[in-house]
Amino acid sequence: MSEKFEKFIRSNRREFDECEPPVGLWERIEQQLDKKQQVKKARMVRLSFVVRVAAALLVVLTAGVLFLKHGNNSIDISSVSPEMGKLQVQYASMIEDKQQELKRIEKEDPQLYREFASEIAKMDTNYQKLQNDLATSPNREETVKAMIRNLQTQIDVLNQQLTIIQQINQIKKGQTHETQSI
Amino acid sequence: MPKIVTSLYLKARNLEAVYVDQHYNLVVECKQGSRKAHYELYKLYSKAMFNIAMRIVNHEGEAADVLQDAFVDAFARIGDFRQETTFGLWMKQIVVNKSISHLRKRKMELIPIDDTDVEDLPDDDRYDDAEIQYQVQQVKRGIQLLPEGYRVVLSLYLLEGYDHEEIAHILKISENTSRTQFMRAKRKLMEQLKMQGVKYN
Repeated sequence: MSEKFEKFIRSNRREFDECEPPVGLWERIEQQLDKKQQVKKARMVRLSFVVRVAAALLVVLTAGVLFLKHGNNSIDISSVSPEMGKLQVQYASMIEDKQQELKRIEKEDPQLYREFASEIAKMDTNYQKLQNDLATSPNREETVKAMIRNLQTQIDVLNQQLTIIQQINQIKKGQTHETQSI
Repeated sequence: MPKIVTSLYLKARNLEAVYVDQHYNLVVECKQGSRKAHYELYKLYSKAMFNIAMRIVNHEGEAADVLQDAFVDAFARIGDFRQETTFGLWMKQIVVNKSISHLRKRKMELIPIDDTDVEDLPDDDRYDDAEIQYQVQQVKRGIQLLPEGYRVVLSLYLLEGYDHEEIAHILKISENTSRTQFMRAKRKLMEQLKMQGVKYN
């Protein structure tokens, strides 16, 4: 078969594209594009709402964490002096133990207990003050030393309190002995 | 690479880039969501694309539906178009695929069942067309009158410029079937043209 037909088509190719698309087809396409865009926008709005809520939550959480951190101790003693840090931990646990011991007299002698406890509480407030000042302190080492001294004093006071209680108990025991022996 | 060769190579590449798509920037604007760019591309390509759809589905209303669907789809997917070919070629692919699946929806048998190989056909010179004076309108009409399967293969091959390998891929048939269909379609078309009394010199 000859190639004449193929050649004819090739040289008249343009004339084969003579149909015109119907009028108004673009408007139909545009409408559909608009619809798709609206769906997209609606999805974006919904997404941005979720993002906003998430962002708000993040801000609240961050603020909370920062607040707690600041409230606790913005600076650690061990970050100023690791040795002092160790001491602080040791002392703090000693104080806690002694306070527990002291608590035993709460029922027997509530008045005395309140007196003893308020003394320690006063010292502890001082300690907290020092702790809060530590970050802005011009001489952190001095502040740390003061804190440690405070803890040492607390221990001393607690020891004295405990000795007093022991003495009282002994006196009480002696009294019961005496009354018993009579 | 020697300097001269390099510069020639670069020159060739630049030329190629210019040749590749004169509407490159229009497509970029389209990707950014410019409605004006959408319309410009529609104006540039709608006619050619409509004719492609027309030749495959052979119905004006359906071709319009295919075109609408194809443009909406193309604009929605334009972000995926990496512009390695021209917008025209990319768009044409979409239109052809949409037209074919439209035909399939109509449940038309694209390929008749009796499927003799090309080799089995006698080498036929009866349709020596040296004397035929082809006319566009008659040929167009003749193509429209061909059976569905013939019309599609003949159009894809002769007018859309796909080779048999590509047609096989598009229609999910073998390359050989595509060749056979084309030969038969062409012969049938010649017969029709003769019946219609194509003028001889």
